[in-house]
Amino acid sequence: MKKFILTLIAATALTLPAAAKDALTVYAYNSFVGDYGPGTKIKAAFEKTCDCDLTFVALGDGVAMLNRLKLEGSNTKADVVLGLDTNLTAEAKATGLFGKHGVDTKRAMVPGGWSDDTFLPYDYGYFAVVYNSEMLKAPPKSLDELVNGDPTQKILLEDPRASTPGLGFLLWMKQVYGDKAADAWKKLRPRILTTSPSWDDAYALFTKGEAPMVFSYVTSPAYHMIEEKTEKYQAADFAEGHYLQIEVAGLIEASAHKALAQKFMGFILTPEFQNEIPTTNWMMPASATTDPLPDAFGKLVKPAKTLLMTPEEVAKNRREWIDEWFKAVNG
Amino acid sequence: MAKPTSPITRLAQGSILCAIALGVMPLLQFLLVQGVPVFSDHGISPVVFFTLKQALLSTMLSVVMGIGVARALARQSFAGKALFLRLLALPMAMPAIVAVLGLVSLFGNSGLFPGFIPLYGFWGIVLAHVFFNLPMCVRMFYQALGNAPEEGFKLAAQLNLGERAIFRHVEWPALRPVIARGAALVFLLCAASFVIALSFGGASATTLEVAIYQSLRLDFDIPRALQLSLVQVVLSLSLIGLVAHMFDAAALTFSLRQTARFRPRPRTGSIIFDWCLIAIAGLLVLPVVIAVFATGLGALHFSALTFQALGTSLALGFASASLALLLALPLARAADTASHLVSLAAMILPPAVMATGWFVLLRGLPDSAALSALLIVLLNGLVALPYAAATMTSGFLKITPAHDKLSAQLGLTSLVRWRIVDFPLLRTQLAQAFLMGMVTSLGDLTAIMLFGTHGIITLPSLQQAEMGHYRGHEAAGTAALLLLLCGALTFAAQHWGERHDPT
Repeated sequence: MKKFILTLIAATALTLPAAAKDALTVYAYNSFVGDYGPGTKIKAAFEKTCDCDLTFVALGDGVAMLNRLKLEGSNTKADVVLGLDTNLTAEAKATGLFGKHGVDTKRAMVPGGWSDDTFLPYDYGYFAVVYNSEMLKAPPKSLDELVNGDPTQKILLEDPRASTPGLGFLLWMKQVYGDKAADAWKKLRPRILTTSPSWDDAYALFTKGEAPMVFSYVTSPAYHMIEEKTEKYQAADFAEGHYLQIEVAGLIEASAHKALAQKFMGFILTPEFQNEIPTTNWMMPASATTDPLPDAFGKLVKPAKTLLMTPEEVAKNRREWIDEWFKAVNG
Repeated sequence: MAKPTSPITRLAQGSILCAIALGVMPLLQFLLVQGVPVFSDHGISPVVFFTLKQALLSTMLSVVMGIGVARALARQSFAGKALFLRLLALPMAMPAIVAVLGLVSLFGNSGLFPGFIPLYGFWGIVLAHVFFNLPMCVRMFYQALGNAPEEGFKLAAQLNLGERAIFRHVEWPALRPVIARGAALVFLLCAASFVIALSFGGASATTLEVAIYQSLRLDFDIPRALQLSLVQVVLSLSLIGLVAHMFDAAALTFSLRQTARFRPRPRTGSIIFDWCLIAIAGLLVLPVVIAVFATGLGALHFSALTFQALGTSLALGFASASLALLLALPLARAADTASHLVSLAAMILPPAVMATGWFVLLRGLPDSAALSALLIVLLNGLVALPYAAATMTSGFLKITPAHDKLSAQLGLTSLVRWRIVDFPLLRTQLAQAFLMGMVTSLGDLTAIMLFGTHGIITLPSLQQAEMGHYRGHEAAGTAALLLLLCGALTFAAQHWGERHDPT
C-alpha cells in the first residue's frame, strides 16, 4: 500500500509541470481552424504571450457552435467562442453562458462603431454580388436592378436555412424591401440558377462558369487578384448599400480559465491576431494591423452605406422571414 | 426460411436498437423543456410530396435499369467487363458535391454538352440520384444473378424455354430477395438527399431531410425535428414494408454448383438490347467519373496534410467497414424482416437526429479526438450497414439447406464449419460487403461535420476545406485522389474475393 501511495505521489509530481501549463479551449468554425485558415498562426502567436496551451475545437460554423453551446449548457468545455456573427449574438446572449469581455470597445474598428460588452468583433466583411466581368458586361448597380434585371443572366445564391451568407442575403432583401420583400423574391426568382446548401458549393459552380453572378463577399475579388493574378471577378457596388457581417468572439462566464480567456479576448484586437485576417480569412480586420493591407484590398468596392439589422431584430423575426422567403420562391 | 433467431443475430439487432434508443431518448427531455409540438402542417405537405416524388422516381429508374443492366452484364462477356464493374463502384465513394460538379462539367451551362438535359431542376436531381444509385443496383443485382443455379439454365436450354421464361423461372428467383433490399436502400438514400436536391433544385427542392436539418440546426427546435423524423420514419417504414411484401424472399434457390457458368445463348435481338443497356449505363456513369479525373488528376498535390487525410480516411473507413460487416453477417444470415429493418435503422432515422442524441448523452465526457473518431466510426458503420447487409444477403443464399444438413451429419463445430464451408462460399461477398462499407465511409462528410473535427481531417473534409478557401483547383485534385483510392480498394477487394473461387 505504501509503495502504491509513493508511486502515486511520484506520478502526480511527474505530471505536475504539464498540468501547471494553463489550457485554453476555443470553439471556432472549421475554416478558421483548418490548415488554410488563420487558426494555426494565431495559436502560435498567442502561446508566445503566455505559458499556455491553446486548443481550437473546430465546429461546422457559427450556428453549429451556438447549438453545441445550447446542448452543453454550463458544462461546456469552451473558454472562448470565436466565430459567431451579429445575426446570432442575441440568441447566444440568451443562453446566459457568456460573460463580459472586459476589453475597451473603442479598439474595435468596425463600420458603425462597437459598444457591446459581451461580444468583441475580430473581423468583418460586406456581402456583395460577385460577377464574372468576362460573362457580364453590365453588372447590376443596385439590388433593385438585380431583382428586376434580365432573367437570362443568372445568379447563384445560398440557402438561408443552411448557410450564413444565404441568411445575409435574405436580411439584405428584407432591409431594402421591408413588407415588399416577398414580391421582390418572386421577381428575382427567374434569375436564380439554384440555391446551394453552402457558400462553397455556390462559389464552386460560379468559378466553373455556370452563372455570371454569385452571392459572396466584397473581399472575394481580392483572392483572385492576389492568388490568381486576375481581375476577372469583381464585386458589384449596390446603390442601396451593402449588408454587413461582423464576426465576433465571446468568453464563457463559468470558464475555469477565465483569466486566460480574458487575456485571449484582449489579444484578438492586437496586430498579431489581426495581421492574419485579410489574406487567410479573406475578411477585413477589426483593428489596426502592422502589415499594410495588400494593394488588391484598395481596389475593392467601398460600400457607400452599411446595412445591418440589430441582433434582437434578427433573432425575433428570422423564422418568420425564412417562411416568407420559402413561400415566395416556391409559390 | 423460418430459422430460429440465433443469439448472435439477437445480439446484433439488440445493439443497433440500443444505439438508436440512445440517440432518441436524450432528445425526449427537450420535449419537456421546449414543449410537445401540436402537429401542424406548416408547409410540410409539399415537402413530403416532393420527397416522395423524386425518391420514388429515382428508385424505380435505378432498380429497373439496374436489373436490366445486371442481366445484360451476366449474359454478355466482353473484354473489360471486370474493369467496367469495378468502375461502377466509384460513384458510391463520391461526396455529393464532387458528383454535382462532375455532372456540371458535362451537362452544366459551362459543360461539354450544355442543354443536353435541364440540369437545374427536377430532372437534374433524378439524373444525379440515378448516377449514384444505378451503379450500386447493378453491382448488387449482378452478384445476386451469380446465384442463379446452373442447372436451371441447362434445364431451360433443354426444354427450349424462351428468354422470358428463363428470366421468370431461373433469374428472377435469384434476384428477388436482393431487390427488396436494393430498392429500400435506394429509396432511403434519395429521400435523404440534401446537397444534390438543393444544388440542382434550389429552394423548391426541399426534402424532409432539409426540413429536419433546419429545425435541428437553425431553429434548434428539437421537438419539431423529432416530429419531422417521425414523419420520415413512418413514410420509410410503409414503403419498405410495401416493397418487402412485393418481393417476399420466399423462393429458395437450390443448387449444387454455385456460380452459373452455363448460359443459353440469347437471341440477336436480346444481344442488341443488352448492349444498349450496357451502353446507357456506361454513358451515364463513366463520363462523370472521367470528368472528375480529368479536372482532378492534373491538380493532384501531396503535402503532409494530404497524407494525414489519406491515413485518417483509411483508418476510419477500415474501422467503419469492419463494424458494418460484423453487424451485417448475423443480420444477413437471419434474413428475416426484423433483421432487414434493423439493418436499415440508421437510414430510416435521420443520422443527424441520432448523432445529436448521442452527443447529449456524452456531453459530460471530456472532448477528445478519440471520442469523435469513435462516434464517426459508429455512425458511418451504421450507415454502411445496409450496403454490407444487402451484399451478404446474396452471399448467404449460396448456403443451402444441403450445406446445413451435410455439416450437421459431419458434426462440424460452428468454427470449423465457418472455416471450411461458409467462408469459402462467402469469400467474394465478404470482400464486396467490406468494400462497399469502406467506400461509403470514405466519401462521407456527414459524420465528421456532426461531431466536430478535433483535428481529424479526412479526404472529403480536406476537399471541403479547400473549396471553402477559394482553392477549387486543389479541391478537384483531392477529389481525384479519393476516387483513385477507392479504385485501388475495389481492385484489391475483387482480387482477394476471387483468389479462391469455390467453383
